[in-house]
Amino acid sequence: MADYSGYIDCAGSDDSDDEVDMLHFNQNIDTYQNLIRLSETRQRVISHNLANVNTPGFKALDLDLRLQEGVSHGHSAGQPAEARIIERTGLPARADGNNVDIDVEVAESNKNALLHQTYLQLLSGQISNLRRAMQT
Amino acid sequence: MDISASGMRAERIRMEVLANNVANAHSTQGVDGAPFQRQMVLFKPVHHSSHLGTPQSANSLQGVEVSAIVDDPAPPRIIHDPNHPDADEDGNVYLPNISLPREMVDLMTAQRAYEANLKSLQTFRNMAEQALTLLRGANS
Repeated sequence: MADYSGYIDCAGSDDSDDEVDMLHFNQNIDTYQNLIRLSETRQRVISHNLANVNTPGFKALDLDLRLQEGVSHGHSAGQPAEARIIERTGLPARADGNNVDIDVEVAESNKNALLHQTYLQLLSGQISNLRRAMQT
Repeated sequence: MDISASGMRAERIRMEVLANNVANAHSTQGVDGAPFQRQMVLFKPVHHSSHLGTPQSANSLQGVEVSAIVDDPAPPRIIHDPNHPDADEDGNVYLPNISLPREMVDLMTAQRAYEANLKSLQTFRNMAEQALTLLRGANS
């Protein structure tokens, strides 16, 4: 569920002349920016689930991470600045109708934080590459 | 961050109410002379969207709030103790409808939920800090 691999595939690609390479450079940065924003949004959702762990009838929420239609690969990759919210499926509900599993949420939160860190590292690598290119 | 804070706040209120229940587990005289009634905290998820059901946008999620604190309508426990000052003419004493084990279990649940919210807050803080190190790199 917390797999952003659909987005990461879009980064980097086949064009070879210099001008387009520069564009790709920016595109990667945009992609990482979107991914970072996405993981922050997902952290919000997980926090919301955790805050409602004792709310009767509350259903655990999650982001719909499928690639949205109309987004072509390679262009505006990692598109959803505002991913749709869906109810998380496959979790057994407790007697009060709440299906938030505190351990699942904490695990997802950790996983998401790690992904966020990864994207930040990648973005920071891109930026330092860019800076190095400007200095030479 | 606000979301986690709202969760911590709600759980803290719940713990306070539970502590009040435990403290009054043997209060035979409440405000109106009747035995103390167990109090319950009602939670409600908060999001901005006007209609009920699944909210559409993650930015509208606002965590949880305590919507009300209500009395448990369960009948009081009755024990026979003619020497008790609050006993009625039949020698029955009406004790609050509180069972300590139940309150303790609730207390543990509240504590665990509080910790989970705290953890979530710390995670978010770390994420923000790591994002800020990007800025630091840009200035060096």
